[in-house]
Amino acid sequence: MRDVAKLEDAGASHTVCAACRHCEHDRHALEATIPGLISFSSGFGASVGETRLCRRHDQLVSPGDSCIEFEAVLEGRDAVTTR
Amino acid sequence: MSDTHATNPAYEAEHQPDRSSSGPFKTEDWWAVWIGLAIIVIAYLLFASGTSIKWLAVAPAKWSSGAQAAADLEHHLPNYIALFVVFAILFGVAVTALGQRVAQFVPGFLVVFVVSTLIFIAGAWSSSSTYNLEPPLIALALGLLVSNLTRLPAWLLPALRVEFYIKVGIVLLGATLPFTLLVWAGPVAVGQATVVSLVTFFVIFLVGRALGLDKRFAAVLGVGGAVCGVSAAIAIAGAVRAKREQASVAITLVVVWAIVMVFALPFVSRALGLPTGVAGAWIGTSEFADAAGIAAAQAYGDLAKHAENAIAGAPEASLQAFTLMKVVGRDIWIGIWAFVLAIVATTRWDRDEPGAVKTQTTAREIWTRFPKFVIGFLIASALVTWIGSHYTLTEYRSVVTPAFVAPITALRTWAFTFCFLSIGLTTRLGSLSATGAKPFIAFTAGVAVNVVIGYLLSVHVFGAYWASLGQ
Repeated sequence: MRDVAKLEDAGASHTVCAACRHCEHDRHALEATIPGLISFSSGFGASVGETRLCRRHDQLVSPGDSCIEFEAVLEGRDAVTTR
Repeated sequence: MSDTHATNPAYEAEHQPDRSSSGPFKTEDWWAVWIGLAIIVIAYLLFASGTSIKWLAVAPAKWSSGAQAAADLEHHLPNYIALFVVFAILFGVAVTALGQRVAQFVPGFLVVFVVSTLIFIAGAWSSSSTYNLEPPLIALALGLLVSNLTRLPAWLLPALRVEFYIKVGIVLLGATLPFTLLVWAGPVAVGQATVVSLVTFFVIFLVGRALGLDKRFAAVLGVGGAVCGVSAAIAIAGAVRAKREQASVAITLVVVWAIVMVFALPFVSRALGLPTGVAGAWIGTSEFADAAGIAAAQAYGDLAKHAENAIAGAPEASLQAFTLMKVVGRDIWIGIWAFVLAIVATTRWDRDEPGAVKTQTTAREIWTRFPKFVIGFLIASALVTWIGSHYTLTEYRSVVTPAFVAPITALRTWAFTFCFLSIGLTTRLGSLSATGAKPFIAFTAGVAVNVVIGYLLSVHVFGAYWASLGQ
């Protein structure tokens, strides 16, 4: 959860997409869910940046975005929220 | 609201999820830089010590009979095997760092390499130009036929890294493009590209809005047509927080038009008798994706090479003009486009139509989305130009080119061929999104304006300038 740590360091005071279970953090998922992306581009190029897919809203989001439907990722003992 | 849990346990099992995408080892762009520059530095070190990577950078000799081709292949088989091993190691390291298992990459890459070798050999046929069998177009057409008429095995897919191969090729291309040429032609390329990009964007955006498309969707379509195709579409979709479906439709339109243009632009250029530099500039202005444009520009260069002076200009000028126009003139601005549109979306569009997601935008967006492979391209150009400055022109042509530059050019052609084949194999028209009439009309309006303005600027306004490239 390095993204979350960075956001915490930056003073983020709310729950964010980086820590949300609805956010598909793996870049392979962008390639798998957007037809044609791999034909002339990639999910691993710089142009994608930090963009990821929110499965809840079916929308492209960034790690620092937020919404009222946030649900924390449950990763072992680290149920993550940012304060 | 839909819930697009498109991944499944089998998919998860195939990959090692990697969430981070920042840092010098986490994007294909940076890996293209490291691999391209490593090849150039090693090539130079061997050249400086009196040897060369020529033995590795194998390419088929011209042939006029099947027996000749088979004999040449048999004679150089160890070279081909060594080349495969070197590429597999370099690309394997990169894909592993990006979260893919190398064991899944190598079998597919073996197929890509073998088919690319056959395409290379077909292109070396002495009569290939008679039938317009230029390797880039063969690779594309063959890939398209196979992927659209058959179902590709899943194990092949991890090796079809279009963007990665093209970026490695572009960094290697920098080694053959004098830095002085970049300095001389860069400002014109940026000027021409800026005019065309802005006009194309506003045509698509305004037509889209007039047809009732959402602002974010119209912006994604607009930049997809104006800047760097699919990469621009995904960058802007992310920046303005577009819906996944909107990104998919924009990407579909880019892919379809890019495929049309990759065949149309070289043949129209040839019919019009355009010099190689002029055609390259037009392709760089009016093609939508780097990979497709390089296929078109290289095909035109190959046409010129085989046309025995029927097409004016050096064959290489087509690729050089394309790269100046597309990479230097258009691609490098993607971060600026993303940042500006993100600001507009946050401050204006969100205020008018509040979305469910609260967003943040910082200037860091500009650097994050900057196409880093361009840095490798520029360093490669500067490095080889500096090396060349230590030789006279005669020495450069008789010593440096054959032992140092030509092998890098051969490796670049391999990387491009992997890319062109992968484009065809990954473009399954049936799997693309249905676009609907309105997005199609908006995007096509931009295509029409782009092609006409691109032609006028490349042929009439800056024609003499582009024609002098490479002379």
